[in-house]
Amino acid sequence: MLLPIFEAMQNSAFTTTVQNTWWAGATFNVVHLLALAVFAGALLLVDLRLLGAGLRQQPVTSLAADARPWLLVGLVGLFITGAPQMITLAVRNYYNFWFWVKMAVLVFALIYTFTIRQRVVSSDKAGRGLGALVGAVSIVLWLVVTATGRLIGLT
Amino acid sequence: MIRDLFLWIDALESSIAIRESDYGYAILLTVHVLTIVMFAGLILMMDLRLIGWGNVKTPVSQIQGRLFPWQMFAMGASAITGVLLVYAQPLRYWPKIFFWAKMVLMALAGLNALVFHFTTYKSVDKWDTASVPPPAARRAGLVGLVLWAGVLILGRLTAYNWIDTWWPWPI
Repeated sequence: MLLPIFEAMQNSAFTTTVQNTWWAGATFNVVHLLALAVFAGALLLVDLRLLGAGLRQQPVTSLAADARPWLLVGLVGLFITGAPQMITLAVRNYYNFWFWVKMAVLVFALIYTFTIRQRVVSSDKAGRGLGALVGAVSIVLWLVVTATGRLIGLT
Repeated sequence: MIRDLFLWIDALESSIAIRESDYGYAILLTVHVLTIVMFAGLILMMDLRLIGWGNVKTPVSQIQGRLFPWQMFAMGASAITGVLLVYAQPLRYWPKIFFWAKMVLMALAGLNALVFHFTTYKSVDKWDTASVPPPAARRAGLVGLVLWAGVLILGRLTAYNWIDTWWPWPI
């Protein structure tokens, strides 16, 4: 059902342009990694705190508010550089097991981050147990997204 | 001399075993990426604080002290997996200019951190809570940020073979 959409992406003028530009693919890859580091830093800073590790002396709300702009900068960078990789390698991705695992977990991780996790880091009322659970789930989800993302290119 | 070492490693049974294993490379590279992203991300959060661009509500000494064990854990894991990746395919990495440039930038980034720690950081009590730290601290943060970004860029580019074809390094 989705294959025609992936084939259309693969055959688009955008894909041809990127494939004819020798540095484009590498640039998307490199900036994707840099954006991932920004995103991961901003995420971990708060998730470690939720787990009761890292910056324990600081209130969660204050840490999360400080980290949020960098979390968003990283995420926007990831989408801007991730979308072209999805489009230009669409047909290969369509038949790649790890691509679908990544997309499924990514959707879940995004919803989780901006609903449940956001709610917990917006107030200092969550108990230690709940905070630790929310932080641990966040780390595991994004760890899976990152690992499966790397595995797409290795299969 | 280094070339002899790489040639010697290449012939070792343990090197060949990792090289020829079905999942060895994929597992090592995936763990390397996960841990380097964790390391670079937490270093970045500290550098942003030093520059005065982020996490400014947290005292510098807390960011430095509380994140340090996590940064070292991630650095240790990415160093071990990184060494194993080279150990498994020494002749793949030997001719790569991006690989050697990455090693140089890592050394410079380490030097930058050491110099900062033994000079500017000694007076942290005076500017611990300042949202904009003194120029020497901001400079160290910016230099660290640029160097570690360079390490990530060169590490990712090591996968490409653009200039191996004319790089005159003997192999």
